Order: sequence, then C-alpha cells, then structure tokens
Amino acid sequence: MSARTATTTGICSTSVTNITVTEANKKIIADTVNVETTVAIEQYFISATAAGVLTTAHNDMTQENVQSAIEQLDAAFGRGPTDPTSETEPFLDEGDLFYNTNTNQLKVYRGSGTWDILLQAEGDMSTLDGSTF
Amino acid sequence: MSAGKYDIKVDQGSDFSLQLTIQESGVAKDLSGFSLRGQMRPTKDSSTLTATFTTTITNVSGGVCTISLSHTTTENITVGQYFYDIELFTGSTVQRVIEGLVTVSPEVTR
Repeated sequence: MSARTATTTGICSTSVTNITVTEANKKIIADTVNVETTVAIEQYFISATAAGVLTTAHNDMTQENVQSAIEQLDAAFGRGPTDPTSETEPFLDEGDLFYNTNTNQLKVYRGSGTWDILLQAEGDMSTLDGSTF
Repeated sequence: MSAGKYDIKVDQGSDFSLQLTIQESGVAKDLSGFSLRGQMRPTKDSSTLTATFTTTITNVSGGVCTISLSHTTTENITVGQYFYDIELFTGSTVQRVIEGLVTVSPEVTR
C-alpha cells in the first residue's frame, strides 16, 4: 500500500548531440546542446505488512497486527504461575495487574518488588483481600 | 550526454572520408588539446576490431575534423553491417561525439 505525500517539480538537464547533414556521407555537423526538461517528482509513503514484530524485552511477537499483538502480550504477561519481577518484566510499573494461576490471586504491583493481593478466587466465589494501600 | 547518431556507408575497396564539424550550442568547438579516435566492430560489445578510423583535426578553432578509412583497409572488410563511434578526448575526458551503423557495400571491380 502506498500514499502520495508530496509533489514537486525538478529540472533534468542533459546534453544531446544533434546531427546535421550538409552533404550525405561527406559532411556532417555534430552540435552538442544542453536540454532541460521539467519533471514532476512525487514522493510516496510505502507501508508494508510486518512479518513479525521483535521486542527484546518480550521476545518474538508472532501476531501481525496491533490488536492480536496486544492480546498476545496480555496472554503472556497478564497472568502466569509466578509473580513477575523487575528482572522478568523490565517494564513493570506500579499499578500493574497480574493474576497468579498457581495461587488464583489477582494482584496489583505496588513498586519495589511488592505485589499486593486484590482478589482471592476460591470455590464458587471470589473474595476481596484485606490488604491496605 | 548522448552522442549524435549517423549511419554511414563505406564502399569496400574505396577510400572513405567524412568531414565532421563539432559544435557546442551552435558555436564551433575549439579543439585545442583534443584528439579524436574511432573504431568499428561487428557488434557493440564485440572483441573483434574490424577497423580503426584515421582521424585528423583540420581546423582546430573551427571544430572541423576528418575521419577516414583507406581503400587498403576497406578492401579487407567483409561486406555487412558494423557499429562505429567517434570519441573526442583529452588526457582526462572522453566524449562520444557520434555513433551509428556502418554499412559496407561489396566491391565489384577488383
């Protein structure tokens, strides 16, 4: 897919040699003249489908559109058996949510390596944890 | 730049001479310090050199020169079509002035 982003004009200059025959096969004149031609120059933005988006922090993302990539990230890092740390998740920020699939706890990151439990899923219902902010 | 195109006819076994006047924008080119050279070959990229033109600058300030082939040269050229060009050169620059086909016609009287 491409889209034209700008149009301008330029001048192409070149020299050509014109031949004048004054006596066939006997006398000729070779006259070199400069020829300028005005040409339109169009700039296009060309986009291409990404074959894969690579992020060093999150390894390869195999999805090829933003929607699917975000879902892939969410699937990979929004839940898991082990609470993320700043080493396993370099972009860990205060307020990030994580669901621990081993303990069935929904947690919020408070910073400085601390996760606080928001919800404990047990049996048929989830209960609010009593952690303080 | 692009060279001028002009096809020439050469009679096998005859002297050939062509007067060439070189101009720039209608004004005769001063050929002081310049030399001419020219060759003909069966194809443009052929390694076979069919003939080398003799070049003479006859009027330096008037840009007039002559390219020629002697009859002893043309009598040894097989009838057919060839490519040629003529270059104007100095020690550091080369400019192709003219190029084209050479048609060599057969000689009857030998």
